[in-house]
Amino acid sequence: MTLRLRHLPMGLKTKFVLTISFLILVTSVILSVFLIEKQSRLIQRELEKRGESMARNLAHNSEYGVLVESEPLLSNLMEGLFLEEEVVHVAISNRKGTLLADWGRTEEYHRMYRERSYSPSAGPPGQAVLKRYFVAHGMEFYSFTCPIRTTRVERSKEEVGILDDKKDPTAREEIIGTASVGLSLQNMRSEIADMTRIVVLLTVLVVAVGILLAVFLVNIFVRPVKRLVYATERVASGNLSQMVNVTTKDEIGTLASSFNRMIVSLQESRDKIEEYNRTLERKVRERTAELEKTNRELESALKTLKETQVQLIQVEKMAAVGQLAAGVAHELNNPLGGILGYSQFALEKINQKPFSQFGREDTADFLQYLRDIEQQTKRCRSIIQNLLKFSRSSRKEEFEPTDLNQVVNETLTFTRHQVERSKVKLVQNLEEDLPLITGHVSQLQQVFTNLILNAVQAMPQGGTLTISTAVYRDKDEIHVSFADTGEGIPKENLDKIFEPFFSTKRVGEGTGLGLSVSYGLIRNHGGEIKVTSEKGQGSVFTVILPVSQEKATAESGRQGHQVSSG
Amino acid sequence: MKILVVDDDPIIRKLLFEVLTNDGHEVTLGRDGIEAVKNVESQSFGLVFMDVHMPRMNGLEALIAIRSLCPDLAVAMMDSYPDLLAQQAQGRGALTCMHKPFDLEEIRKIIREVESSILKEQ
Repeated sequence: MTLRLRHLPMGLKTKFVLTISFLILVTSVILSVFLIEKQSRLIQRELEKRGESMARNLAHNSEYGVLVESEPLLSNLMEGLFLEEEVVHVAISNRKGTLLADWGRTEEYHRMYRERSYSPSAGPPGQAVLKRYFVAHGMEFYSFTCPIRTTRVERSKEEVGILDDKKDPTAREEIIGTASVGLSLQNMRSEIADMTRIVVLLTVLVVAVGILLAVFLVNIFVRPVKRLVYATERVASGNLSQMVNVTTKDEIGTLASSFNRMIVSLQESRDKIEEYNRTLERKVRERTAELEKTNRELESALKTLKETQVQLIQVEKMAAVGQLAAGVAHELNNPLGGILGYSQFALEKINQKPFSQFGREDTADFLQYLRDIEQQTKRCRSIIQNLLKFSRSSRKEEFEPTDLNQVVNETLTFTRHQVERSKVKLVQNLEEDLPLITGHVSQLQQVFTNLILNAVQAMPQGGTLTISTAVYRDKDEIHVSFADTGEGIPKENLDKIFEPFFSTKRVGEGTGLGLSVSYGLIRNHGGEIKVTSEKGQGSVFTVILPVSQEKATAESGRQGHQVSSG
Repeated sequence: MKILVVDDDPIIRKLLFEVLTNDGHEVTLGRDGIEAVKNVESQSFGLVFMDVHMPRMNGLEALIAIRSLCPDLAVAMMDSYPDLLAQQAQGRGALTCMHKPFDLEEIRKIIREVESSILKEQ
């Protein structure tokens, strides 16, 4: 498996390899140093032993030769030693230090020995061999000097050689000379050197192999970690598809399996989240669709409501108009009665007596009939004109500066008949120089008509209707009040009367819409209608309207001066 | 016949006065319900023509008063169509209900009916 990973200069592998290598190195070095040291000493010790032994042996064997001071004997003894390569000199001296026999491998050795002769007088007892170290001319050697001893016994010639000297109590040890052997250290040195070289080489080899092995093993151990790292990088970049394939039975293996479980759980979480997300999206879509649908329904309901509102206003207006029309129809019937009656009467007269026989009185009567007819016809005309005024003025749909007194008067022109024939006395208290309000003339007429007719209906036995206008400058308001002397409105109904379809009249007598529509129209003007009432004494409906902020005068008010609808 | 004409509109009063007087009847006029009752109290009439909508006392109320005074007196109500008050008046014993504007012949027809019923009684 190729591991495409960026190389980390201080990564695990490097760390491990460096550490292990360092350890291997250190250990090996220590060991090898120790080994070399030990071996060196060993080699040296061997040499010393050899030297000592040689010296001892020589001393031991030289006893007779020294006693008899026989140079050839001694030389003979020494010969054996020359064969040893490392022996560089041998010498035997007597007690006095005189060289009895000596040999040196080279001239230098001779000289060296002679220059440093050993005095045997002060010598350690026993078998001690004195070792001395010499360096001369760049060559090192040891010189092993052993005292030559003999046992002096007090005995006769005959006993010599037969009895054991050593068991004799009179035996006395005596040093008669020294034997010394010089051994070159060169061999030793080179042996040591060789050994050292070998050890070093071995060490190097071991270290090298160790490091290589370490690298190899570290690689093997780190590979799972690298796989893990690689896997985590994959996960970090969002790819949850592949697991980690590490099944070693160590902590890395545990880590890997935990990691795999983690990936699985992560994947599950992610799937869940996506699922929730989808659900959420779906729910949001559904809810949005619902909301949109509701919105559309609301919009269309609103539209219907607005249309209904317009219709209701129209209905009210029509009802008002209808009421007026009924009143006007009523009105017209009388003059029409006059016209019809006098026309028929005149025709009867002609039938009874032709024109040619008309006397002066007849003519005068006839003319009077015609005049009456003419008069009643004019009466009809003015009634109709008043009605048309009401409906014509309703075509003006804008808000404009309005004089409320004028509106009251106009409203009265076509409600006055109904008021007076209902035996209601009309009183007007209109304040002069009323400031203008921004109003819709026909709507205001409709409202005032409604209130006037309501007042009249509240006084079936007759009474007084007082219409007043007043301005309240501190509040910038104009109050138009309609006070009747009727039955009054019960307290519990006072706040209901402006509700649509609330009516105390019998079915068929009025829609109950009048006050609610009037209320709405006045609200449209930024005002309100208030009512007070005392049972048995009457009610007062007050229309409150804000004074116009426009500085228009009363004269220009009625000439269609356009004002932004308020 | 003595006829009482009650209407708040002067032209109706004038018309009926002229026409009925021309027909030979004795006509008394009244302007509203109160005058109607006063006249009925003070005189005896054969027929009353009474408008329904009048100030001070309307036709219906006057009818009720007249009925209690003279139960047999024929009262013809006059009104504009449609009119609930007139219907009520019918229920109270009005002879009939005439819709304005009326033809002169309708008036005369009512008068003839009343005259013939008076004759029958006699």
